[in-house]
Amino acid sequence: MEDAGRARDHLLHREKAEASVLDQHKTGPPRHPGLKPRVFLDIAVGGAIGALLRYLITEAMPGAQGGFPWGTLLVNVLACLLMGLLTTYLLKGRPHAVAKPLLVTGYLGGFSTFSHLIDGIDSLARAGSWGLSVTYAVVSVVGGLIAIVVGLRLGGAIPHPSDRAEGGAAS
Amino acid sequence: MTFLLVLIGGAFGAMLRYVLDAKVKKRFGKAFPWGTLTVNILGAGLLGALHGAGTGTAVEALLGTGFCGALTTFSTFSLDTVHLIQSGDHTKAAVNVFVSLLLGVVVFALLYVVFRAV
Repeated sequence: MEDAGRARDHLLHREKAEASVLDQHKTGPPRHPGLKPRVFLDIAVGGAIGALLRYLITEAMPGAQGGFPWGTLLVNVLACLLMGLLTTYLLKGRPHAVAKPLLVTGYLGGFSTFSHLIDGIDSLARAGSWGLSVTYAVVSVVGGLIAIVVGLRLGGAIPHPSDRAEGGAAS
Repeated sequence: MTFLLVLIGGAFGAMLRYVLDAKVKKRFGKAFPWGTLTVNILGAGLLGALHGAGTGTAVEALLGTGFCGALTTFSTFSLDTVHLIQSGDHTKAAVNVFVSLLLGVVVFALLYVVFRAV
């Protein structure tokens, strides 16, 4: 009976984490800025850096042209690990200023891609490799889910500046 | 040059994803990740059309790698699915995975074929 409500709460966790990246107020609980213009710079920067990193990794992987899309698979699983980590970290409170570029890229960024996953599934099927196509889809989804869960657990291990005064603690 | 095109495409893709996700969430609620589903299917369709039409390196970098890549997201899709599983909503989690993948492939392949013929 409680399922719908709890599910809504869980999806709101992502919004809460997102809010703590985007909200510029230093005090109080993070407020989600919605569609206010000032958040768009952070999002544009995150998208740009994320997309460039993805491009560099997929180009550097062997068999970038044709063959099994190892590059996209690696990027997507890495992105899931990072997103899990950051979600736990961000839900602890205000992020540290030094971590901002990582947060912006990881949380708002265009690093992971769904369209190129579909492209890979379709290309493999089109080339007649149905087995590989299905394998790619299953490995991506299962790998992504495992990476998220591992990330969510690991996120608790990152030290967080929970002190209210930012300049106080050196560590 | 290619780097710059990927950066520009990525910036605009991410901004559109943020706007669409917010609009869709506002309209259809937060009980199911409708926003992520919308951007993912839209991005997959656009990439299918691009690859069907056949693009040069520059267009592929700007619109394919940059824009479509950043418009869609696999990490948010996975995070939403895990959240649904954790809250005991296994049906919604399974529906999210299967609808995203099946609809994505169908829309991609359809637009690929259409734009190849044009």
